Amino acid sequence: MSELQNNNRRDFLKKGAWGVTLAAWGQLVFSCSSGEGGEQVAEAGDTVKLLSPEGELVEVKKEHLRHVHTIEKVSKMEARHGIPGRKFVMVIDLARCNNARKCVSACQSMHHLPSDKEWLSVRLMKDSEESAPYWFPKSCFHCDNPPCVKVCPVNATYKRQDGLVLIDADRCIGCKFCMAACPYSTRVFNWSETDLPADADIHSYSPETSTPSKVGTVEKCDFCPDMARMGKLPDCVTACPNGVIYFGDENEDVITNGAETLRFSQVIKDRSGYRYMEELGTEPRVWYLPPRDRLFPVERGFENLPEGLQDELRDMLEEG
Amino acid sequence: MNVTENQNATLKYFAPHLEKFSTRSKMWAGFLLALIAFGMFGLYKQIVDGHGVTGMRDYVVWGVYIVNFVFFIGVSYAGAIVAGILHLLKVPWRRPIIRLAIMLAVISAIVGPFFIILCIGRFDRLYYLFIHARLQSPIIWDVLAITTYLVGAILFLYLTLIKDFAIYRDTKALNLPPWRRKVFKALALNYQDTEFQKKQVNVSKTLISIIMVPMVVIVSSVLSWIFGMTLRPGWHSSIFGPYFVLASILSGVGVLIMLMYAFRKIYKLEEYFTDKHFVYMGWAMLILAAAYGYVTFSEYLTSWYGSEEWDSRVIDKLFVKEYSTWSFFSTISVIVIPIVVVALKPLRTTNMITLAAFLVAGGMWVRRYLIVVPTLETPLLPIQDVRPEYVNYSATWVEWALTIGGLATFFLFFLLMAKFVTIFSISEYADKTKFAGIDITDTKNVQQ
Amino acid sequence: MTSSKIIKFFGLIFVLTLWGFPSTVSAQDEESGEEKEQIRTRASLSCVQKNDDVIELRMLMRAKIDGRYTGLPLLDVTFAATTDSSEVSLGKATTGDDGIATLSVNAKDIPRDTANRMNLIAEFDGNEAFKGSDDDIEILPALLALEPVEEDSSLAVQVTLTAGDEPVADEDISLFVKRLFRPLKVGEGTTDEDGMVTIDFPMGMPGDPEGNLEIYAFLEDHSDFGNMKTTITQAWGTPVSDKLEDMPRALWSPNPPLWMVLAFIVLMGAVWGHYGVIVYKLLQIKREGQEG
Repeated sequence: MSELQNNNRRDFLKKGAWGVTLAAWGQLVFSCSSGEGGEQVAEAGDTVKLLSPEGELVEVKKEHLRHVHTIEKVSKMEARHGIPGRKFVMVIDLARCNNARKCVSACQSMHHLPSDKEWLSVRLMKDSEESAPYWFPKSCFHCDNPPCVKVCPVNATYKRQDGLVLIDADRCIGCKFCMAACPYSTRVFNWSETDLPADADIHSYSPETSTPSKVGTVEKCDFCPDMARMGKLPDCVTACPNGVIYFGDENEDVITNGAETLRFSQVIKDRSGYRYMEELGTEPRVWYLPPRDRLFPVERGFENLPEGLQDELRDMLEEG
Repeated sequence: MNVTENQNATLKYFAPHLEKFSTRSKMWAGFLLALIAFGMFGLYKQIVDGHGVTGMRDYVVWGVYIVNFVFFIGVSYAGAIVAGILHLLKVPWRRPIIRLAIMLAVISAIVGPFFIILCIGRFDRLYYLFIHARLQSPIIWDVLAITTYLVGAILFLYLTLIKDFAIYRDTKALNLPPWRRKVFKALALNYQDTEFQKKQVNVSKTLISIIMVPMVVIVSSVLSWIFGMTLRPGWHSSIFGPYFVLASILSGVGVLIMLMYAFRKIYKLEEYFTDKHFVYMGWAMLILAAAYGYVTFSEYLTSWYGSEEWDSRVIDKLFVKEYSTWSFFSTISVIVIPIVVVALKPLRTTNMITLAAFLVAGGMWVRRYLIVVPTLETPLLPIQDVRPEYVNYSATWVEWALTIGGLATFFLFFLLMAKFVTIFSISEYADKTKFAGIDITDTKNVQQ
Repeated sequence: MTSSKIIKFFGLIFVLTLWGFPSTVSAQDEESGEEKEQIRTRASLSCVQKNDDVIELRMLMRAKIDGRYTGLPLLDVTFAATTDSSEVSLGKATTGDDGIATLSVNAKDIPRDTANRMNLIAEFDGNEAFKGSDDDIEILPALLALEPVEEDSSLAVQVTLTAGDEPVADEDISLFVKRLFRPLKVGEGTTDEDGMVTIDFPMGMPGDPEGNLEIYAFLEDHSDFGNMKTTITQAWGTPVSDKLEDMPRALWSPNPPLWMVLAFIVLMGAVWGHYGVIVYKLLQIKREGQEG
């Protein structure tokens, strides 16, 4: 399949655009199948029919469908050390982002997050009065010199040898010091039980899946190592209709957005890849490609924002 | 041990307070307990409904709780360092102040940490701080610093009390129930005022004072490093250690003056807490306020002049935009007023100094708020959020309830301490020949 | 029960609770009358001829959902090969998350027609929700041979494409190296009249701990041969260790820097030492009092 996709970028992009519907829908079937017999799904308006293990056809509203991944369970020790020989890295092409927000919703659906909790967010940036605004997708930077890990009093958040910064929510005491220490406002807190969707507990917790959320603890983007263990890309990467997010292994020197696979060092060299706020010395594992030769006008991204935020951001642009 | 006439007379004076609860003190205790119950109700809500009931959110992750924590711990450090310095300097007027200062140190160091526990999402896992401690974390430094310091402060308090325990045990002036005599007997450790015992107590007091003074400097710096070690404007500053040391002592001196005033009023102790004590403490407050003003100026001047973008956003909020009124008020009350009140002779009265002390203490609380909240409201990346409670912090009733509850606990501890022991050392007044009308600043009367 | 089954089971329970049991029952009642409402599916069969005489058959099952073609998971697909006279069943497979069912068959087990072609057919029979559909392809067996070429300062792969001993010219061949998520294309070329093309391979490509790289040539979607893929493993890469090393002593690691441990011991030792002396003195006071 990989080379098929590799060789048919257009087809992939099309698929990617519908990726979220596809994922939610397809996975539901998956989540509801008994494993034997012909399980299936039909679609009628806002509801989806599906066959239960008992052979009953039931109808479910589409917004209630959630993405369920099969999970490779790893021990707490493995989750602390990381995947041997890997150094994960992300490259985000700012020229292609039009704030479609598919990465955001794919991440939320994969990790059973409520719609107002974003591990991955897209900000509108305007560096100075003269410079043009651009959309800035931002996951956890998984810094090599992580300020958050430094300050953790109980070793709940930790740096792995494959470059990932993860949180063990079974260890976290919820002091929020890491949130104060992170300069990028990456981390979010589970303030109340109500933050947790009802279906999240179908998983048993692992720091690699970061789900289900635990009340009173901190959580954030985990770069989906559970997916990487299966050789799969994180959902934010595959969900993007524009191929903005590249993910890969720096040790292999390769990054891919699913359709395009490139050498990491070459991309950084040729396209002036940079890391956000290098001067902070945090050494992020997320690189950005400058928004040069853009595919979309920045206005396009406003459509996908809630009304209030649109106005706020327009004001921001006018102020410079 | 021998209890002198004068000590007996003093104890007789205190007897009504030590022997039983008067109606007035019962009402006070009831009132404070009611406030504490209100706080407990807030705590109950927070435990049942989660931290969502507070005003804290993902950007402003700490709020009034940590402000209270810093405030109480700072006040505590001030008590300890004042007691230590006064002991080491052997200044003649120190006698009524040392015990009050060290009581303040112990009580605030017990109340303060409760507020940090309130900040913690999972206090069922609090013991992880000991079993999974990471030495690199400033929180662990603080846990170690505060526990070590608290043990020292309790030892210090005990050392200032041991002779008094022997007096309470042996005096005929107090009519105490047998169980309290027993308690005092146990606490007095067979103290008989022998030369050897006197020497051991004095040496121990000197030792604890010597260790207490540098320790307070270190532990209040450690307190500041919770903020200083992060990469945030308004926090990430090399001056933060000394800044917090001065802030702690200044606020604590303010609280101490207020306590002196309160006890002087309640117990009518004008002969012990004389106007001179207030003036001396006032001078200390003036020096500290000036030093604090200097450090504050230096801190903000540097980041304003350098005007890095991120720094400027915080400076802007503090001095031009939403927090400018509070900044102005706290600067006046913390730096200008104490200097003016103490420097100008006509204003240098006990009442005015106490008023200034009150403004210093209140203003220092506000200053801590201004250090914590505006910085957290100013992340590096712009906040683009439609939820107003995520953008700006405002404390909820739960946080205020617990703040009031904490304050009530603080006062309740003092009330109980004042029922248990005298609020200044009886033993140090052993060779006084008269109870009333004595100039205690006269060096001849001071026992070394 | 495997863990994934458990997950599926709970997933179902969740969905059922969301809707409540009564609606489930009514949905079931309605269902009997709605047999005809099956959704049309679209099947696409493709195959990959591999170097180890294996043919990988791939069936993509899709349906138009919300106006978009979407992969259908968990459908059973049967594969077969036909000749003029007979049909040989090759096996069954179930579609995965992406709607693709894959079956690997030994090329020798597939009957050929008179023109040495393989006629392959895959079929989904249909079920309560989806209509059945099928697709077929015709494949001519061919051989994509790889020969590594090592010279002093360059690496290359010589690719030869033949069909029944005849060289095949003018075909675009791509060279890939296998990577964690997606293969990386390192070069391409067109076969000459001898069916040969030499494609350079870059130096310094990171490999496994021994420097091994899985390299393959790929011919895409040929009208006669389908897809072709031949893999070789060469130690052409830079070795990359897959060992986990001990974390250094650092602020961000579990192990604190030594000076920090030392400072901690010195400071705590000094303070608690003093406390010790004071407690000792208090004990002395107590003893003195007993004696007196």
